[in-house]
Amino acid sequence: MVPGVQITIGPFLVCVRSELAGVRKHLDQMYEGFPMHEGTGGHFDIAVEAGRGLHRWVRPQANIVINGARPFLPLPSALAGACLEWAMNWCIGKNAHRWIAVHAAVAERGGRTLILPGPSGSGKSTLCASLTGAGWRLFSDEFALIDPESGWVLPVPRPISLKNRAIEIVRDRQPSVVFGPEGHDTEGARFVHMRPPGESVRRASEPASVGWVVVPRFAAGRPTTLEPLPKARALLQLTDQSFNYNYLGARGYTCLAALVRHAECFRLEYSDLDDVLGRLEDMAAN
Amino acid sequence: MTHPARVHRWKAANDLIWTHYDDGDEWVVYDPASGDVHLLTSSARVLWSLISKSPRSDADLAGALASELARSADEPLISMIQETLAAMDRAGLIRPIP
Repeated sequence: MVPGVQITIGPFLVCVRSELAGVRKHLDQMYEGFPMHEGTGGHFDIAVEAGRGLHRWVRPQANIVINGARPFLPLPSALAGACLEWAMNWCIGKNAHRWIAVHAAVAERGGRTLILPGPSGSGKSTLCASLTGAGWRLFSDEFALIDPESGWVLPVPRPISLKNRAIEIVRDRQPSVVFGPEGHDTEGARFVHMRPPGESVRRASEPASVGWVVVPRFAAGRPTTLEPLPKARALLQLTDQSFNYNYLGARGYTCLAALVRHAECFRLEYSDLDDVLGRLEDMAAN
Repeated sequence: MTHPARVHRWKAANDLIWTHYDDGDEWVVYDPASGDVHLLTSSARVLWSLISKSPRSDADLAGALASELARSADEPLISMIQETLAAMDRAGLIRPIP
């Protein structure tokens, strides 16, 4: 068995095992500052293995093995680092049923979290990356992880995934941030990972209460609108975007219902990042 | 008022969890049996509440809702009620009984 590296990511201990140079490079570059030790075992064991036989050398492949199972088809080994991130997403979405997981970006300001639920393409990762550049603490660009007992939101800071035009937009705004190598995913989209801010990693064990639920939608050329969203509809958004509230049954649902009750809820449409960041700062200040 | 082919009563599903917030009229209902979540109008909630107290026919419900809304049980209201009942039936929130 290839030796492993244990990484503490929020509430998770993840063991990563791989002989592929791309994975090691990804860890060195994107997980600087994370608690990391040689070792095996943890909540998730993720192995990124080189392809076998011909696929070790010709059109080299990477195979993802998670806790002994292979939930993915082989992928190009050039995507080895990204494979690790996709594997972690799969692990959390499929297995982290101790908490409620919602497909959302989350940032924190003044002890209150801003939850941005929405499907891929809604602009939440771009917004999340920009918020962290403006001083918000990164909780996650992928998951809102909620404790069903306390209602608190837990940080799971990891590299932020950016696609296509968002790459240049965020890079131009934050030239000092470390970006990984650019690649193309299986759907042909350009993507890159952005190292999470050191402060967010250092404070990864500090949960926070909910402040706002904002449903974002990027709409090119449209002015920024931030309008109150009826809480009943905000609750529906959260349940729609939740991977697992139903595993927890009524407890999961009532947790999300209570979270919405304590939040200010908005629907956001934007195209101009400077404008929308200003509006969100005003929202947080009020 | 009742359609000859639709003379039956409605019974409410059990164990539903209803949520309402002060910022609007809509209700969210969670059905633990199916795991589904539905967004309903306040009128639908009134209808369900009436049914939950005791099984009701369409005619009973039309009269009760008309009284609740302080309006007559006219054709538009009856049509709305029947559409709402059909939707709640499809969602598993109520079911017809003899």
